[in-house]
Amino acid sequence: MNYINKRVISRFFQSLRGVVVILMMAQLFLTSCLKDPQPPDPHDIHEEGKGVYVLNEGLFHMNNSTLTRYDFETETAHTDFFEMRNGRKLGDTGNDMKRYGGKIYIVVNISSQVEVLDAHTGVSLGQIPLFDGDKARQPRNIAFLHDKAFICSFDGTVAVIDTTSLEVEKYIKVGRNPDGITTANNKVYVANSGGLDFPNYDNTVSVIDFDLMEETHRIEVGPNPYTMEADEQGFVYLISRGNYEEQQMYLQIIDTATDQLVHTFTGFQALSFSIGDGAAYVYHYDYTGGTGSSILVFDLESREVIRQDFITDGTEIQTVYGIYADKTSGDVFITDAKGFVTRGRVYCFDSEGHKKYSFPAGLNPSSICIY
Amino acid sequence: MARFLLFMVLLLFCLLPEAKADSWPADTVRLEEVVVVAAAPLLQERSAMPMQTMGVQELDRVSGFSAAEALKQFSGVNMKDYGGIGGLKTIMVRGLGAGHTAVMVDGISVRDAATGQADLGRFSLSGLASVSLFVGQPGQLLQPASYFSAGSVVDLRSRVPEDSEVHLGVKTGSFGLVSPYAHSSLILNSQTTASFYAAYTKAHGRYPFQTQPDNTGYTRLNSDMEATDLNLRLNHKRNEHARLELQAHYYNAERGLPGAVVLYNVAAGSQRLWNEDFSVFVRYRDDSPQGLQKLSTAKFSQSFLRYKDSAWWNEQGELVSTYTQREYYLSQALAYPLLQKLKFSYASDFFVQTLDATLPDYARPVRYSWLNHLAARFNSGPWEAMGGMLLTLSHDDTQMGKAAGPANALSPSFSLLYRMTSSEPLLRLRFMYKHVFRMPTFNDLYYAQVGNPDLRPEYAQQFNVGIMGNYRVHPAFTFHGTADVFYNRVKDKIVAIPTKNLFVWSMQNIGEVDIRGLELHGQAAWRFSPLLKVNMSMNYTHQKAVDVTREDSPSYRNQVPYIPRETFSGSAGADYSFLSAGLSTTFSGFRYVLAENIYENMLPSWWHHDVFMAVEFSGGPALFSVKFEVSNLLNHQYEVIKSFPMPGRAFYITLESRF
Repeated sequence: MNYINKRVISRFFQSLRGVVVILMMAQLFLTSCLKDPQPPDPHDIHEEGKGVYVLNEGLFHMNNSTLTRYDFETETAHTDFFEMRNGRKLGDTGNDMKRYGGKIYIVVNISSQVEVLDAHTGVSLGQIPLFDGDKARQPRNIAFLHDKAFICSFDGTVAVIDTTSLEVEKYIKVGRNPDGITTANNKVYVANSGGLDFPNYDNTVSVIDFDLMEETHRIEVGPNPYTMEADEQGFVYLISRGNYEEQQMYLQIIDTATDQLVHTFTGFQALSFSIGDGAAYVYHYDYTGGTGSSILVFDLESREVIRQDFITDGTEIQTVYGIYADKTSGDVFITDAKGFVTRGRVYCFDSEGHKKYSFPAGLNPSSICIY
Repeated sequence: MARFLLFMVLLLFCLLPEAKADSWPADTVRLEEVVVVAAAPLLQERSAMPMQTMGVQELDRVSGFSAAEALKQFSGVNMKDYGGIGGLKTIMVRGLGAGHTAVMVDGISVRDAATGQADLGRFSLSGLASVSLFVGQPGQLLQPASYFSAGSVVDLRSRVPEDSEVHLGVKTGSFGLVSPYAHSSLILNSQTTASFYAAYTKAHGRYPFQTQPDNTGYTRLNSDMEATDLNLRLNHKRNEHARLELQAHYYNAERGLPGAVVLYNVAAGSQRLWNEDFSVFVRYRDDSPQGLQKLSTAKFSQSFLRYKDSAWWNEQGELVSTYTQREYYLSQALAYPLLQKLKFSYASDFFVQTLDATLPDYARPVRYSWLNHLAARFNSGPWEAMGGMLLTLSHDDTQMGKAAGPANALSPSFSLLYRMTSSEPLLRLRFMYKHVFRMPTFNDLYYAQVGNPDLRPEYAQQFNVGIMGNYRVHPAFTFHGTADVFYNRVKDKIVAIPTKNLFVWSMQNIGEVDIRGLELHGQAAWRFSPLLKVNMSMNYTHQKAVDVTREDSPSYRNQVPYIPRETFSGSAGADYSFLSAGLSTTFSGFRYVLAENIYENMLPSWWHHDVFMAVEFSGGPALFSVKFEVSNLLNHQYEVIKSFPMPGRAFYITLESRF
C-alpha cells in the first residue's frame, strides 16, 4: 500500500497503454486484411406476369425460407424473389403455398404467419399472424372455398380467413395436429395427424360444413394422415403416413358424397402426390431400401397404375421433395432437394415424362404454383 | 462504425495516463532491481504435443463467468456458444467435432454419454486453478487411459486455497447476476487436509439484442438460470510421494432455454431444463521417482436431466422427458523407468455407462468400455520421443431394440521433440501423429427414430509439425513463440440425414473432412521493476476444413459449417503489485452455417473485447480484492450460432476476501 503515488500510477498506465496499443495495431491490421464476403449485386428485375413460383422451405430455426420465381418469357429463375420485392425475409420454414385468384398465400410454419402476395408482382399484401395468446399456432396447410381461405394449424384449429379483408374471422376446433386440408362438395376436410403425440397418432379426418362453419363429424382413416387433395369428381385423396416403422404409408380415398373411406392403394407406398387432369402423380422415396426416388402415375377413374415410372427420358432426380401437376398445361413439376443442406432444383416435364426445362431453386424446394 | 469505436478506445488508452509520454522513468529498467531467475521453460514451452494453459493469475484476468471464456482465447479453438449466462458452450479443436475433445476435471472425464459433449459454461472461473488445452494428450506417462483416447484434451483443475485459508467472494453485474462463492481449506492433522468449495449462481439472463438487417431491438427472454455447485475434497499424504484423495461433487441447476430467434415469432421461449448431478471419486497416487509409479482411481457419477416444453401441441399440452445417466469407472495406471533414458507406462480404464430416458420405447442402453494404453518415452541428448498404443474394446447392451455391435480399435500415437539449441534463444522442433476415434454417442445410436445402431466409430488422424522458441532478449524482457502447421483427416464422420423417408432423419457414417491449418502464438513479458510487470499474448489460427465427401456434391471442397478460416485472440495487461488491468480481444472470421459456401449461408465475422481492472488491498488480517470488468466493450451485435444472438456490453464486479 506504500507504493501508491501518482508516479507509480502513471507508470502503470503508460506500460499498459504500450501493450494495448500494440494489440490494437494487430487488430487494425487484421481488420484491414480480412474481409467478409459481400452480397451479390442486387440486380433490379422488372419481371411481372406469367411464371412459376417455388416455395423453398429452408431449414428449421434458420429463418431461411425463400421464394423462387421462374419467368416463362426470360427463362430465368430468381431466388429470393420475396426479399427482392419486399425488402424483408419470408421467415422460418415455409410449409405450403397456393394461388387463389390473383393472390398467392404462403403458410410459414415456425414463424406462424400467412403471407399474402399479389401473384402478378410478388408484392406482399399482408402478413396474417396466427397466435394463441403468445403461443405460436404453427400453421401447416391452406385450402380455399368460395371467398374463404382455411388454414389448419398444429394447435388443432382451422383458421377461417376472408380472402378480401385478409382478416381471421374464426378458429374452428378440429382434431390433433392437423397436417393436411382440402375442400370438396361445399365441405372442408382436415387430416388430424396427432404427430406431436408420437407414437400415439390420430387416425381421423375432420369434416367442416361451409354453411355451418363448424366441424360436423370425423371419418376414420389410416394412422397419421396428412397431405390431402380433392379431384373434380368429389373424391378426396389423402396419405396416411403410418408410424414410419412397420405401418406403411398408403394413399387412401374418401368419397365426399357419403363421407366414407372407399379405397386404399395397397400396391405401392406414397410419400406425396398431385392430382392432374384425369391422373394422379405419386412419389415415394426410400433411402435405406436403396431405390431412391420413384414416381408413378395412376388413372383417377380406374384407380389403376398406368405408368410405374413417370420419367421416360432418363432424367435423374436425387431426392424428390415436391410434385405439382398443372391441370391446364398438363405439365408436371418435380422439385429435387438433393442433399437437403444444399440448394435444390426444379424440373418441368410434359405429361409423357419428357423433361422440358429445369431451373435452380433454394434450400428444400417444396410447393409450386403457377401464375 | 465498429472501427470508429475501436479508434476511440485506442485514443482513450493513449490519453488515459496523465503523465507525459516522455516520462518513461529510466530507473524502472535499472538492472539491479530486476530479479533474474534462470527459470526452466514452462511445460507449454517444451511440449511435444501442442499445449496451452492458463494458471490462477491468467484466469483472474479473464472476463466473464466460465472456463469457456478462458478457452476461447486459445489458438485452434472454436467455441460453439449459444449465448447468455446459461447457454450451452462446447468446444471444437482444430476443425474436429466437439465429440473429439475430452473434458477432464481434476483428472476425471466428465463427458456426457448421451451427447458426447461437456458444457464448458458450467465450470465457474472462480473455482478453477488452471485451464489447459492439449492437442493430442498431456505429455506425462502416469495418467488414466482416457487421457490418451481423444483428439484433444481440456484439462481443468480445481482451485484449492492455501492451508487454513478461507476465500469468500461474490460476483455480480449485468443479467441480474449474483454469484457468491466460498472456498476453505482445513488442516485436519499433519497429513490430512480437507477443502470445500461452494458456489451459488442466480441470474435473470435477459439481454437486449438486435436482429439484422433492420436493427429491430428485442429482449432475449426465458434465459434465466439458478445453479448450486458444491465440492468437497479430502487429501491424505502417506509420504513424500504417495497420497490419497477423495472428492465429492454436487451440482444442481435450473435454466430457461431461450431457443432460436425466429422471424415474426417473438413468443417467449417455453423450454426449461433441470440438472442434478452427483459424483464421487477416490484416487491413490504414488509417484516416487525410483521404481514403479502407481495411480489408481475409482469413481461413481450420476446425472439427472429433465426437459420440459410447455407450449407443445400434444394432448397434455406439454412435452416432458427425463434422462438418468450413471457411470462406474475404475482406472489403474503404472509407470516404470526401465533405464535412465527409457520409461514405460501402462494404463487401463474400465467404464460402465447407463442411460435411461422417458422416451417411448427407449433402448435403455448400457455400454462397457475397456481402454488399454501402453506407452514408452525415450530421452537422449536433445531428443525426446514418445509412442503409445491404445486398444479400445466397447460393447453395448440394450433393453429394447437393437444394440450397437462391439467396437474394437487400435489407435497409435507418436511424438518427437528435438532441442535445436541449448542456449538462448532456445529453439525446439516438434512433431506429432495421433490416430483417434470417437464412439457413436447414445443419442447417435438410440435417440428415438434418429438413432442408428448400425453406426461405426468416427475416425480422425492428426498430424502436427511445429517450432517453439524462447528468448530472453534482455533480463527484463522474455519472449515465447510457437508456429505449428497441422493436418487432420476425418473419415466416417457421423452426420444426420433423412433416410427411411423425409420425415425421419437418421445418423449415418458418411462424411469426410480434410483440415489443414496454421497456428501462431506469441507472448512477451516485460518486468520493468520487481513490482511492475507487463505482458501480452497473441494467437492466430488459419484453417481450411473442407468437405471431401462427394465429388459431385455442390459442397465438395467447401469450408465445413461453423469453422472460420481465421481466428485471432490477444490480450494485454499490466500488474503493479496491488493493481492490475488489461484488455483481451477475440476475433472470429466469417463462417458458413450450411455446407454450401454461398453468401446466404454466411455468418459475419465478429470482434469481442473485454477489459478489466482489479485492485488488491489488505485490511487487518484479510486481503481484499475488487475486480471490475466490461465484457463486449464495443457492444458488438453478433451470433456464433445462427439465430442465437450473443449478449452485448455487460458489466461485472467481483469482490473477494482472503483470510
